[in-house]
Amino acid sequence: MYFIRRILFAIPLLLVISVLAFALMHLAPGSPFDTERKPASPIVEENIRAKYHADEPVWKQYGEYLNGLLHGDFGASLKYQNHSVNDIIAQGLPVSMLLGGLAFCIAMGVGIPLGFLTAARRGGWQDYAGSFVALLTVCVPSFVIAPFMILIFAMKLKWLPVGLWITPWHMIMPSITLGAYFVGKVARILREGMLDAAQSEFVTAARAKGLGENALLLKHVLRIALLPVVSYSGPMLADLLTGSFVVENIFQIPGIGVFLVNSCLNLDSTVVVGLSLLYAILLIGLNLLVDFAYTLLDPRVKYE
Amino acid sequence: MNDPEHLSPGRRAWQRFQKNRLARWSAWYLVLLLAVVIAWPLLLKIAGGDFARLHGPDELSDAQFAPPSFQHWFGTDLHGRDLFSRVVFGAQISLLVGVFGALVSLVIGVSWGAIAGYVGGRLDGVLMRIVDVLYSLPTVVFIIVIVTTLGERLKESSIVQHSPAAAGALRIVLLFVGLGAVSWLTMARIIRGQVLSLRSRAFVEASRALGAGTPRILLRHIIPNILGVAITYTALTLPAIILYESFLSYLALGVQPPMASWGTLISEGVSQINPIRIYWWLIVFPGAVLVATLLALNFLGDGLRDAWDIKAK
Repeated sequence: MYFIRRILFAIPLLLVISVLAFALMHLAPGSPFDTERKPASPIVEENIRAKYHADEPVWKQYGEYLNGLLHGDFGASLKYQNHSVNDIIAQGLPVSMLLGGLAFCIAMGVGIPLGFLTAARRGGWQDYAGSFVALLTVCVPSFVIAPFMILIFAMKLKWLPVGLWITPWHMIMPSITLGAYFVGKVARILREGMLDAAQSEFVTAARAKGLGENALLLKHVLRIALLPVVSYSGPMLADLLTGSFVVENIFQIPGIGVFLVNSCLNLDSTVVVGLSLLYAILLIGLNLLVDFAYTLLDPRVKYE
Repeated sequence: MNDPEHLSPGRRAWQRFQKNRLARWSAWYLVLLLAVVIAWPLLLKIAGGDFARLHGPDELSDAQFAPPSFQHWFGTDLHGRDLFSRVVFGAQISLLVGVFGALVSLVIGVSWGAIAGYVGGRLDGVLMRIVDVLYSLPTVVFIIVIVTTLGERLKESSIVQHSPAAAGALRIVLLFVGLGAVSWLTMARIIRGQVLSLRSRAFVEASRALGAGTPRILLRHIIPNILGVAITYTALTLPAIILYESFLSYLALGVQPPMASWGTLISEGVSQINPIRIYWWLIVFPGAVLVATLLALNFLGDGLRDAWDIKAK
């Protein structure tokens, strides 16, 4: 029931977002054609404007746009000739999703053991070293890590390609740069959660029953401490998707982030609105999934 | 009288904070950075002449890509400009955007959270539901859209056409308002929790029983007690906003040339990467200062949080 309500709630939300994004792009002055060479004659320009419905009132343009959306059509790009927003999404989204997915695996695969280690060895050198590494990955932006990785692994050692997105070898550096920030985040959240859980009564009870420290940490403390990590993965997915703009930019990866940034610079309104909407849809959906996973993991949580 | 039991919460927090070495060093680093950022432009102005010509952030010279030396501590860039000076002037912009952005998020977050927590009931539900929704939206996308579209609009307005300096300043205002406007969510949640628990505490009840009105309770009891939390989360928002700003500037969507922030400086450095010659100083120095500042701000924020003994939830 709760989830059905959440899904129903998402529809007006998406409408509001689409109106806002559409209005914002129309606030931008001039037409997107201004920056290019003038068309050969006024008639040509008129034809182009007619093709994109540029002369109709804004609300009518929005209505037509919305109608298209309902049929799964995000409209035509104003800048990329003969490309629809759907083409751009079909081209870029799988790439961005794969990049985000790989980075997500790195974040969890490295972050959880790191957080576990720092919490299990609290106050020891492993804690200090691990916590420092975790904070460092949070504080070193991807555009600082990436150039150094390129300099070392691509240019000096020539182990990995400098950029692009073709073979699995191309995916190593971008995934690591994108995932690094979240390694630190996940480790810090897990550490805090474990230290909290270690003080709870059921842990004391389990210890009193004679359970060994390692089994205690793995079976009881870690299980509880993973919950905040799961609930963080919702906002994390948002940051992974948007964080990939910079990584895609550095490594010349043809994902949707690059298209979005370029379209913003070009004032290509249909692409910007379409991609913002796509992001919103993706994130609302992914957050629902995260919440759903949360209820499965923690039987104490009940949504009405 | 040094028994911690007898101290006010503020003094107790201060004592605990001073014991935290990492946080203390971070505070000193930030003070030093601030001093350099303020003193260096003054020094350039006072010394003038050759010194200013050598070190001015916008002074072009023939010494292109000079490695770090006694003359140019951080080396020079493509146009022979002194990188140290550019990093210092970049710090001005980055810190400015960070501080004002954090203040914007402070104002929105505290009022949002305090209203939700103090009024409670239906309004609380609605306000917090909005926060939940905003949490799951790609806020950075919205900043990009807002900054570019409004930025374009500003370019056409008459003030901007007359002075390019005003255009740059307006863009920075746009940046920190935009960044602050999307960074207040955690603050609102935490302030709401604090206000909610304070509202039902005995001393507030007592004050209300003695006839104190809402404004008095807010001013005398609620606000002084959430001050520590608000300061702590502002300190933790600051590095996040600086990071966002550098991201946007890196993508050429933030601060526009001739102005520079740490993000644009690093972006310039990255664009000079080529397999033949490596101008490492173009990335190392702006990157190191940015990372050091972010680390220091995080240590400071963590230290403040421990000192005030705030639980995240």
